[in-house]
Amino acid sequence: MNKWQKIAWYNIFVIIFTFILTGVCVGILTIKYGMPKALSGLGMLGTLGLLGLSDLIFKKKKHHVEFDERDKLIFYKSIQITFAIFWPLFTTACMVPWFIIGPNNPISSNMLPVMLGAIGITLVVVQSIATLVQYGWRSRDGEN
Amino acid sequence: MAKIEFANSIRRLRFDNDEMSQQELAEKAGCTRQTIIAIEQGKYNPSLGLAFKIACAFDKKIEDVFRINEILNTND
Repeated sequence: MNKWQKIAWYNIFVIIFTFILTGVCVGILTIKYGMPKALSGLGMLGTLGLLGLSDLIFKKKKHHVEFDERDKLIFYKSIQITFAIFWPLFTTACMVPWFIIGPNNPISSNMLPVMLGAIGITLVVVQSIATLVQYGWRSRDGEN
Repeated sequence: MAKIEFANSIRRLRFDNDEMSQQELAEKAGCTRQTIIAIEQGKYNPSLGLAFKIACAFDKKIEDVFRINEILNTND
């Protein structure tokens, strides 16, 4: 498993871990304090900041080629897939509230960062999955 | 339209060269071991530059390492 596969797995793990942690926190706070206060449990979404540590955790090995033409091709393809997913997702995110509440009603400005965050997380997941699929998930690839 | 299938002799050449490991070949060719594995298994066709480097690693001509296996005519 190379560095890029490890980073993809790490991203997926952090996102799943964050959502489980946030769900548990909100659940516990809902039981203890009731709903409006329980929303403070959403602060656990800050754990997503761990995504930024992937480059520090998976450092480049010295005197070792880690990114060649095939990795570059896989990287570009995963970006293309992510970009192809982005537009339908963005359009849906914009149009669904419009269809639900109608054209003449206001929506909370809190919706904007929520939309941005949700799309961002989805894109990280899509790129990670696209990377893993192209490498062949576990791919220790017939070593000998 | 013709469909071209590529084949290579990397595995055989590795064994002919003192059982060169995939890692050794990767280091000589300047790519990753995974790329060598993918090329050997026919899952990835290298660029012309990498194909030359692999051939150089075996001290062979490019056509001794890579060849066109068969050409299928998809119009038929």
